[in-house]
Amino acid sequence: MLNEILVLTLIAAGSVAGAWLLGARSTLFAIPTGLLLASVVRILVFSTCNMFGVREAASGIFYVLLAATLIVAALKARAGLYVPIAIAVGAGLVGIFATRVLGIIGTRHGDSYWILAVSHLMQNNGDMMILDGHTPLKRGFAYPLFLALGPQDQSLTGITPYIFFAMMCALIWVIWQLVKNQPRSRVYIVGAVLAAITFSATMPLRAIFYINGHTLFATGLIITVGVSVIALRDKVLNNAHFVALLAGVYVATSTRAEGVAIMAIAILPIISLKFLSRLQVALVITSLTASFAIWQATYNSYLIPNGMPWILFLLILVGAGLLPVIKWFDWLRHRIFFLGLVGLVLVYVAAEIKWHADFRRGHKALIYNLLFNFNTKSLGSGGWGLFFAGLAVFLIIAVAGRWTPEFRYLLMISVMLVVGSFIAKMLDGGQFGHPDLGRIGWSDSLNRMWIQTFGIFVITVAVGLIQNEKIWQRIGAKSKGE
Amino acid sequence: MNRLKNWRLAVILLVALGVVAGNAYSLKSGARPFTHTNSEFRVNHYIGDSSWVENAPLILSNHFKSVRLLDVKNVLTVPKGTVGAKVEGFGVQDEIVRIFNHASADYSHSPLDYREVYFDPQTKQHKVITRANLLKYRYWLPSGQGYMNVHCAPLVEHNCTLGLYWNKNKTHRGQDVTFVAVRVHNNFFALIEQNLFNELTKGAPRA
Repeated sequence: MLNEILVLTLIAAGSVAGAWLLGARSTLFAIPTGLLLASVVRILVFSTCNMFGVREAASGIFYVLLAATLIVAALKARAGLYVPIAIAVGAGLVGIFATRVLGIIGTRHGDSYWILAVSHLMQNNGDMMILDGHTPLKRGFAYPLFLALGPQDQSLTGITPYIFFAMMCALIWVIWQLVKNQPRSRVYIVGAVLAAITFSATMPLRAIFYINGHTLFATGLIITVGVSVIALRDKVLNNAHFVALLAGVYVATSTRAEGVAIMAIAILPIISLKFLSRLQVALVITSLTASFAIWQATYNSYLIPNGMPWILFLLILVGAGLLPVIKWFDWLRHRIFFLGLVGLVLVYVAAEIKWHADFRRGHKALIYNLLFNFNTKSLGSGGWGLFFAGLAVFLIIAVAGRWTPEFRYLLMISVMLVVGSFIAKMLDGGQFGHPDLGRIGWSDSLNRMWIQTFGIFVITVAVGLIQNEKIWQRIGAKSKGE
Repeated sequence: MNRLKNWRLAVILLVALGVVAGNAYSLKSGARPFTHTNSEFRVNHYIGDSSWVENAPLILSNHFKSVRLLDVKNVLTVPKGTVGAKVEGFGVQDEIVRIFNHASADYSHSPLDYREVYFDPQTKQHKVITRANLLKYRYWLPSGQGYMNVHCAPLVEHNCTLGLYWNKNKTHRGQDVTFVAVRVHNNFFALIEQNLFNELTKGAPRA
């Protein structure tokens, strides 16, 4: 356990110090940003060591980099560094206490076993060529790399609840950034309501200890979407936010099989911004394409055509991704957010028409998982209880008010993420025959994908409710406009 | 008119109460989000002690020094043939075998066909391997079950049952062992330690 305490303390402290050095000064922003940056460093160090056949050096180099970052930050330290570090380390220790002392473990699931097996291989410096097959490739890269930092032949158990903690920090930070000019009472009431409906449902609680990359993905996604919406609203993107966004895109892409597809959707708002420089747009897209290419290359993926050198695969992918940066495509890029939304909806509608018979089972599964199982007469079999039903009611109330730009952007992104998740599931199911929308049960992959996106839906509803003046007028009092 | 405007907040609070009550009921009556009983932190044992469908090679490699699995090819052809004919198999994931590298697998042949229902017209003999005569050699899995579910050829069943068998008096922990894959019934497979297999089949050729 001492080994795990030292490693997770170093990750928590070093990552927050790194985020602080890059300008993330608030605790709620520094913790998730630091975690994402640490994940990027871990991936790049491991991939490089793997390329040169010195995988056994990867963990040591990662620790040295974290320690060096911590020392540099300490030398430059001013107010604002030690509180986030103390909170992050405290959260990590709580995670270790929960898993190692209390013996808390997430729901057992085949995907978790696959991920642990992959992390076992990484920890023991096994040949990454083994992971070429379809099944291990689906288990992701970023998350098992963290798990592999555990004691010999064990996993880093405390990292899973720590990632959940970082995800919640990101969620609260984004909501606060978007509504901080609103009266505190509204924020507290809506915050309490949303926290209550979230943490009374099984799935969000299950996500705390469940061994899978969903929450790491969600952390990257929330930071990416949050920073994008703040930039869309403020028409400015500061350096700390931009670095966090790049890290978010990079990590989420490398965390799950559907990562590259979902994150390609998530970056559409930011790359459509006219005030972004071409270099910034290029970096955003490259953080997606390079992340995917490096993962595939390290796993010696069958997705890389036979005989093609991985560097060529990387160059083609990164090069193709940079096409929208060309000035000639500006007309398209500046409208890509809206066009992306329309395109996704059209693709989904077309798929519904073409495969409506195949989707029938999936529609039923969606309703049974998210709302009510009419067979067993029980609330959602997906473990979401009434969470989504409640969120839908709140959303209806929220959209009945004035739409601020940030709320409109969040609504559009939420719709894109829902449709994008459906399409990702269709593609996954399509590999095994007909496209599919899932099956009944919590472990269905589409049902688990909502762990990745529910944070964005919560942010959308929170912003909509808090900014909707109609909700907050006192009884008998006139509204501002009357 | 304005009196009605705050109904929205009332609806939000009432809906929240309803959702929390419904969720709490669901949480109480349904599967728990996590458990607090874990004391096994070694990855190979944590996985090996579960009822995972891919577990067979891991359970065996946790038990023995090194394990070699024979005849674990999984093909989708309709079964035909005589005693010892090769038919469809069950899922033995090569990645799992190689990750926990105390095991190796030979995928060149499918499991040997020793289905109970089959009577060999050439030798006029009934099968020598049945579920009944394997029973006393059965290994109780760490999960407490006598058999495990495995993926198998979808022409018959999507899920099949697998049993692990060796003679506990002759084959001990820490040995180097070889297991032979055998199809005992349409949807029932066995991994049988090679010496036990030879004993049961009285030295009949394996392949």
